[in-house]
Amino acid sequence: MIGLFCGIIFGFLLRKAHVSRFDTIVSQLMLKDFTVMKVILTAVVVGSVGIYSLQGVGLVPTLHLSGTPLLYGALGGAIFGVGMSVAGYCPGTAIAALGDGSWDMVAGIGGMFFGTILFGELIGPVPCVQASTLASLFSLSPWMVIAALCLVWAAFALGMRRLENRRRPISA
Amino acid sequence: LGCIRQIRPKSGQKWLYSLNTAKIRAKLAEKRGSTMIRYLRRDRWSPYVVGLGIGVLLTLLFVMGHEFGVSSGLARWGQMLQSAVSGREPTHLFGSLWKMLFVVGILLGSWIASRISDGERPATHTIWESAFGTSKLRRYGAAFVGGALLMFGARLADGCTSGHAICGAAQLSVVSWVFMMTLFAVAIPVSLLMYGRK
Repeated sequence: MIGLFCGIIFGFLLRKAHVSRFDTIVSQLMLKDFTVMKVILTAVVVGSVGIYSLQGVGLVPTLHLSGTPLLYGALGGAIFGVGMSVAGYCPGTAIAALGDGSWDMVAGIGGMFFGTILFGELIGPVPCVQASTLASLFSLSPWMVIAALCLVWAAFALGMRRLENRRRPISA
Repeated sequence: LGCIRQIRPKSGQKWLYSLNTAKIRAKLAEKRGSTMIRYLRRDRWSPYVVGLGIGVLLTLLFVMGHEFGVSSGLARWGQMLQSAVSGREPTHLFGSLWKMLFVVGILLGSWIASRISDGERPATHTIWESAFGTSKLRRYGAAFVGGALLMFGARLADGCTSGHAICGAAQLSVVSWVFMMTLFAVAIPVSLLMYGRK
């Protein structure tokens, strides 16, 4: 039941940012509108601060790091990227889009089921290696990486503001 | 101010005073409630507010010992369908029951948001239509092919935009950042080629 409840909140938020819409996502991929990047980067910065600080206090029992080899991650990301351009959604936003009234996502979700079954039949489980984080890779404290992320986020948000101010038509 | 003036002549009577504060409190609550509701009904929120909300949700999920991801939940639904049709269980199961419910929740949540928001519904596909026309068959076909590619890629990488780009990236996982970078590095030129010419 908690799963259902959290899903409702997530779907609600996706719709409120309009990322449940084809035009928003494809505009991001065509670099016309940066809503998707704003949502993802903000969520990553807030989530990383939240997770690592609560883990420090002992409130987060375990991290859930994926042990997928990097090559699989890159290859999967490339196939996923083509799919995202063609469908105009990623899996989460596709479901939110259906709730938002985009009926083409009935076919999209059918396609996703097909993709799952195809993958299960052709390839099966992916190998698993020792998971690594950006912190362990460069042997830094996670807080150094998070601080850098915050700086990147601040630069991104400021840059976006300047860009949008410049683009706004000036009326007398 | 109107409330205070009423009290003065009968300041000894306690019941009148308490009645008036209750009225003020009710008025305040009404005002606060209406701005809240107005915000809830607004068609579009700032992406930063939504990002903050997702980040907080992600943190709470970690506190409860769960992780965050959509594609494995969807994959599990797909496998359930497969075993219902073919009558045999797949050897390797994706996701968990928890994630299957999470997926259903997204559908419900977006539907609720869509119903209570002021904006227009259903959503348009302006960019698609300007590049490929209004043929429904073509749009549905592309959605199917795109969906199949999405899931194939997501299973190969063991995550999607939510599992890798949000949940994994927030944990500073290397493979998640690799996934996100290649995703955008491929999707941006492909989209520009597909939709950008007209």
